[in-house]
Amino acid sequence: MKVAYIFATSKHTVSYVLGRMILPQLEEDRHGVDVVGMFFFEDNNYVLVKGNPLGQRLATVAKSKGVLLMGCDQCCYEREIADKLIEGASIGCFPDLYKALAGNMPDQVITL
Amino acid sequence: MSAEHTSHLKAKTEDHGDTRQLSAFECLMRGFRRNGGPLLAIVGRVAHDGDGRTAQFSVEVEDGVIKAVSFAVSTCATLIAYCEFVAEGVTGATLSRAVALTPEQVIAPLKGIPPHKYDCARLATTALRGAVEIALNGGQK
Repeated sequence: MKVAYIFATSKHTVSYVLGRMILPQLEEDRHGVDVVGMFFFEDNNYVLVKGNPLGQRLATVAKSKGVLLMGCDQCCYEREIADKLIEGASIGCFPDLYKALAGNMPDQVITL
Repeated sequence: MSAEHTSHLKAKTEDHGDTRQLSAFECLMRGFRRNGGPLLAIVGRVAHDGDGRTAQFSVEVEDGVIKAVSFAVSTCATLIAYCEFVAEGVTGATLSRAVALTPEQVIAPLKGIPPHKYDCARLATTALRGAVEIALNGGQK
């Protein structure tokens, strides 16, 4: 099964759910499904900024497994990080996300 | 790009005494307010890009000078920011100057936008030209 994750809520969504569950499991090749994309809202976008240790690991995994990384464009402009993202991460909105995933559509989109 | 042109393309802040450069986000927020507003006297052609985005400008002109600008564009943050930057930059400009505006002249001063979004600047300037050319033609399409 192919899934895409949308990181919509703040609190510890990225540091805990992504950083301590999803990402390590992807690195260990035991997440259980193919992750085809991750989309980030609001402060969750800071993980995509160059120099973020979690983001650097995420970039490595994304590159090796072909995972789309996209930040919400408005969120990134508001935080003035749109042009400071890790290699491979882009910004956009829903049309950009769906277009980018068109060739590799997920079976499930999971909002966290 | 000439210094005159550069200074003209600096979007103006709410406080008219402040001439600092606006950020992409400030242009976006102001563009949200302008987008979809009432059409002005001269309505331009609708410009399209390959991703389904559209943009259309309308302008009010007096003695060859753009007095007011309105636009209606797709809900794309980068496109709205660029269109707002263009709208503020050409308000008060002559038609001959506005019609010569290039995407590069918009991309360079509006910082913080990643290169893969620069095509939105092309759509914004194409849409502006679609209105200005009609104005230059005396309002005839």
